[in-house]
Amino acid sequence: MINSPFLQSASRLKVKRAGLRAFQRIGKFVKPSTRMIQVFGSLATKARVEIDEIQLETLVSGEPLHIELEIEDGYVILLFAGHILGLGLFIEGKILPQIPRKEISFL
Amino acid sequence: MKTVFDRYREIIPDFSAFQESLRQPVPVHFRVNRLKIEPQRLVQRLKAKGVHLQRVSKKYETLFLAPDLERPGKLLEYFLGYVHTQALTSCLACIALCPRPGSYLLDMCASPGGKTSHLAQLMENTGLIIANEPYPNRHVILNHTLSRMGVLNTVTAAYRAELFPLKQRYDYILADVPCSGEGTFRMMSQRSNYIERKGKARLPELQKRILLRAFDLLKENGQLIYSTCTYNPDENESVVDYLLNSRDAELLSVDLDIQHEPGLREWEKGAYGREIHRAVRFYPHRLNSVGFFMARIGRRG
Repeated sequence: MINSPFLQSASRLKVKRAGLRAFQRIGKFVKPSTRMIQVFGSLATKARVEIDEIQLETLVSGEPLHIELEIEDGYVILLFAGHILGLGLFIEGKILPQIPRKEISFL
Repeated sequence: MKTVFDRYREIIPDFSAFQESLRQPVPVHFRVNRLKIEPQRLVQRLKAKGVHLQRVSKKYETLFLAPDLERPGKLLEYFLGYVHTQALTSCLACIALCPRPGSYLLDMCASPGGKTSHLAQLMENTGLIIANEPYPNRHVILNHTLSRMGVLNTVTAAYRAELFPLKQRYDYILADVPCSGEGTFRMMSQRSNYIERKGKARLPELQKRILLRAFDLLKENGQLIYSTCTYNPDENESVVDYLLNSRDAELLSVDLDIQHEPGLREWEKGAYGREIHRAVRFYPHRLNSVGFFMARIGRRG
């Protein structure tokens, strides 16, 4: 949610939701949301992984993507043709898909 | 084709062309989401994929017709929130309202969120939008649209529009009210089986209550748009005329670079005030989209 002088008066309403959901808790992890990463991911300076169409097909099918990365385990930002798709979870040499696969039907 | 619209034979110009347009499917229009990508860059991306786009007007650089595109929701650019499929006339309501960045805006009937996200785009994601949607089951699609489009300046609420709390006033209000939806006839897959919605007779009463509440929520120098996607004057000019007779309201002109017709001065046995010609009507045979009505309203003086 952006800072706005109107937030104070909006707080007098019964609010259902404010702004863009940034994170959600999954077990003991806190996962950034796909949509937040699509907006702010361009500001990230590390943990960015460019994938090609075949690799994207692998992730969209729900399969892990085996890949060598010199980074610590954790969430990575997935880029396709320079555009931020969303997130993957890099663990032990493979990326587990975290993107909303049902919404990706363009392949 | 004899349709329920025969009752509008005397008020819709070039009625035979209008009827003919109803046989045609509505083409794909979409809006480029400037919060995420510049229109020229998007056009180049899609051109490289073989998707040909046409600007609908020199004046509106984010609105396009995609004549050969059948399923825009399948595009990667749709998933990325670069584009939103939206009827051309639907986009015009937000353009007519033209909210300034940094302002306070109420969208009274917000779902599915196309207009709300357009308003956020015009406000450059600044200020604050209250996206009100009374029906809880419609919040899912509303939130999905706002998230996909990267909208940050919106709070959602779930009040009945006609009872929205009078706790504060807004710079801009969009009252895109529930209506009989006659203007979307071309979008219906079973056009030949079209029947009028039940409860249509009760709509004008609800619309009047919503519009009165919208006006009462407006700041002194605020502006509101009342809009529907129907041809029915009982849901359009009659409702606006009711407001003009009930409150110190003024109809403002609508300046759009898209062909439209003025509001009706009379309908069946009723006549409306002279100001009503400032309201605008859009017909599918004039701009190859869906039927629409809108009126821009401010406080008199």
